[in-house]
Amino acid sequence: MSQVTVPGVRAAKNWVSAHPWLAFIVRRAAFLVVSVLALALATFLMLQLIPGDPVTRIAGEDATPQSIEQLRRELGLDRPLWEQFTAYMGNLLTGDLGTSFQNGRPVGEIIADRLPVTATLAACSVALVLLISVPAGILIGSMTRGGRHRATESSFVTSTGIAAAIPDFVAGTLLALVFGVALRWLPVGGVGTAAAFVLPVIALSIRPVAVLSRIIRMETLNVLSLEYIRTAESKRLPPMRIYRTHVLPNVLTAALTVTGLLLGGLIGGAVTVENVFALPGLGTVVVQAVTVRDYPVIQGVMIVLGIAVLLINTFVDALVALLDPRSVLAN
Amino acid sequence: MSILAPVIRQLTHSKRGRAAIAAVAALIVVAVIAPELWGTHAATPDYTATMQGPSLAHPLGTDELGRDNLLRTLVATRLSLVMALSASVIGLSAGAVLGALVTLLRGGARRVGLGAIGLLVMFPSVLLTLFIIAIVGSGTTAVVIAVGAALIPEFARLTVTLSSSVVERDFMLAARTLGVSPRALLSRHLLPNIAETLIVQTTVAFSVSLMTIAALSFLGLGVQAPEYDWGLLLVRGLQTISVTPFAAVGPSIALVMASLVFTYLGEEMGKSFNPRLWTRSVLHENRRARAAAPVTTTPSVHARAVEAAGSDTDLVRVSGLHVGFPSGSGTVHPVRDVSFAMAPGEAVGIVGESGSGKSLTALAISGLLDDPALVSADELRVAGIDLRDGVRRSDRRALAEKVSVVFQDPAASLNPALRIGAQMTEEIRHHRTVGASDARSRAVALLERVGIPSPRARLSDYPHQLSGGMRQRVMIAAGLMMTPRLLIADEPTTALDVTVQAQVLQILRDLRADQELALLFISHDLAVVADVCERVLVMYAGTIVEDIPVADIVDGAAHPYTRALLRALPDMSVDRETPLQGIPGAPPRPDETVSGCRYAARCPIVQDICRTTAPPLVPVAGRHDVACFFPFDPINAPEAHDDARA
Repeated sequence: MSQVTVPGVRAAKNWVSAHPWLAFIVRRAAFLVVSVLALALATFLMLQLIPGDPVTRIAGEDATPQSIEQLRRELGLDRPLWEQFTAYMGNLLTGDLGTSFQNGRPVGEIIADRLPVTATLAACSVALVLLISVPAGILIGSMTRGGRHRATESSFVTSTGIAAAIPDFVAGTLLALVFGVALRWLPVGGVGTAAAFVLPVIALSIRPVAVLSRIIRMETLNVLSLEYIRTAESKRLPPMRIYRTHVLPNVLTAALTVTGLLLGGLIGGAVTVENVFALPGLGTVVVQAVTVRDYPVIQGVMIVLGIAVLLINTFVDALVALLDPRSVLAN
Repeated sequence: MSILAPVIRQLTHSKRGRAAIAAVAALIVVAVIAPELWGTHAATPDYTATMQGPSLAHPLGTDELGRDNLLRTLVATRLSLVMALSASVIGLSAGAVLGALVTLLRGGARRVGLGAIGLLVMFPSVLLTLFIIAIVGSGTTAVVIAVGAALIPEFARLTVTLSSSVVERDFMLAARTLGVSPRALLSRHLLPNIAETLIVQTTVAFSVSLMTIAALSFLGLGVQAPEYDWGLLLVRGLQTISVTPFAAVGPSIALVMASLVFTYLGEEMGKSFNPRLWTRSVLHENRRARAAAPVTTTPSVHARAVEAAGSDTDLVRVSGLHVGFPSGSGTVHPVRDVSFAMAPGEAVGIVGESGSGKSLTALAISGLLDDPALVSADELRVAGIDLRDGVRRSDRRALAEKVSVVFQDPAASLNPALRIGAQMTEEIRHHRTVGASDARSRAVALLERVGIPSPRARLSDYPHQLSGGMRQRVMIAAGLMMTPRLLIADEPTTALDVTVQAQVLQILRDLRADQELALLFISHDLAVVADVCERVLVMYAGTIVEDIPVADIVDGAAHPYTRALLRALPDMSVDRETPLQGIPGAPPRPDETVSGCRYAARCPIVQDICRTTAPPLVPVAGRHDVACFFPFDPINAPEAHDDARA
């Protein structure tokens, strides 16, 4: 690879090595801005990508030619593409996400109504998943270190394997049936009380708990096999202390790194779980919108959830960088 | 599928692999024959037998149209598997192509490609699927396309990661230097190396697809009646679960089982590709071996050496030390019958080639060998502490006070997540009642002592901010925090370049001059050991063959192996016309049983007795200890070994 030495490039490189943290922030901010633009472009193109005539598709099969043309004008689809795009971006920048085809409500308002439910569901699940998987993964990892406790290891691997293979809507339905319908311990459906979130959160967390605790166990085994653990042992520190000061921080960094992806998965899972429990969140809204081809609502939900996922990942990256400065400083 | 053939061949080698193949084959058989045999029957309504519970005729009962739930589950196998498989193949092929393209890009275009893939991976795949369904519509084909497309980012990311790491590897660079064409590079060198991981990932993608497709059926966006897959059957079953729970049983089990079978297949493939990662069975053997019989070893032939030197003032006393590891056919012993003693303040080096057991000996003396290693000894006493049964809780403090260890690779031996200050002070803070600021002052003093500039500032650095030589100085300084009586250094300079190595050796020499610090120095380099030590233990294939003062080694080395090592040593006085001499042959493997001397096969002066009897480590001519029946005698027979020199 030939290295071109342009003075400007070298200056930039010097600047980056002089201000690693600032460079990190600039890099992440640029990625964030470009990503949001890409997201907006993708949702804008959604209508254009529909095979055939999107207006016919939206209006339904038994629409008259007049109503189709009227709808086309209303949607602005009769204008040139670039004009449509500037109008779309302009609306986005002013926070206008359009109005629902279905009931004429502003999409922004619908999302504002529904977002708290999905956010609560996802946040509670992330907390539950981390609270269970991290201690469980470290515990099983340390127990099964060096091939110890074979029975524990195989039952852990089997049970997490099965738990990870149960679709969350099945888990949700069974939970609703047992604890909601049969035992009547917890409410099923609606969001009146905090108790209404218990079953959905559990249903949503089962698979991530299984997957993450496996990852944490492997990471624990990995850290335990590293040489710095032997250094700590050579200092004759008690095992609990070695776990606390040497194993835990490194395992936590790994856990945090996958938390961003975990949240993405949880938001996806929330779509089905909300439908199981009839929770009025973004998941129920978007599925219903897909069913009736309410494109403004689909576009709005995609943009809002997409930005949420982006922000969370940026936040997690920043947190990982703070905990493990190598990733920033060594760059 | 030329790539799949070796995969399957690999899998058939293990019992679990064959089980995985059998399970997949069973699923395929059901998928092929079930619709042919029962397709019509399972689709024909029977209004006389709706919503029945289990019976002989209908083991899982019937649905709302009186159709048999079990048969419908079996028939649905084909559509479910075909959909999941198609989606996985779409994801794999499109993702691999996209990833390969991005890998081949350069500069800005590459960065854009990587950014786009990163963004797509981050985006929840269920939302991506819904997004695509919103475009292409719902139904069987649309769902396959949408689920497959949502898999593309992950496959693309994996391909980029894998191929980038392969591209950087030596054989790829070599192939490129040799002028291999890009296409050949891709197909012959790149693809085979990443195909394995991609195939394993495909089994994971298959399980994910099964579940996503089922979830879409649940949401009403997937397969539409009269077609049915497991997802749709499950949804119908769940809807009527309060009436009859049995309709949901078949598809649930089928879905979970199929998902498990493919996950299992992926795991087994992963194991056969990368057996190093899966050492469980070996460890299991170890536990069995240990439970069955305690380690029995032959009586020590070397113990005499220690007895002779024996005194209660010895800092280290090792007698008849064996270190074993379990292997398929029993226990191998990389360290056999090692005996020696060290006086306080003495510097002893252990020299040997890799695999000679020198590092394991050092670890055993440090009390740091743990499962799966099996340590046994007649005597294993360090600073008065008996380590034969590992480190007892009550001995931790005493050991911390008296013994420190410095390891080979300073980059790996320091915790990357902790600051230097924390790592240096944690030992003294834990074992003594020392305040934080006192501990830090001591750390600063010791860092200064080992020649680290501006030591106070270094305390708040992370290990990666220091150079390799600095890190090893930090390790040594950390080892001195407790003012130990014994410093065990396991190849402390091997990972360093020559000038840094010389500095570190100088530090060790100075330290010994300053305080009464005994040093056990492990190295493969006789010259380095001779530089810092007073006595050398030469190890060969797990045993000590010679125990000799450094001052005598050049003229007085009596073991043919030591003499061969000396001849292999370059120095300034060597005539450059004479080639350096290597030692022909290789040492016996740890699992090889050798009845006589373990060096016999390579020894130039070997006699019959050497092949039948192991020579004991005994004093030769009253000078030092050597394990050889025919030790070199410089005074009486200076020519005895010189046939080897010719």
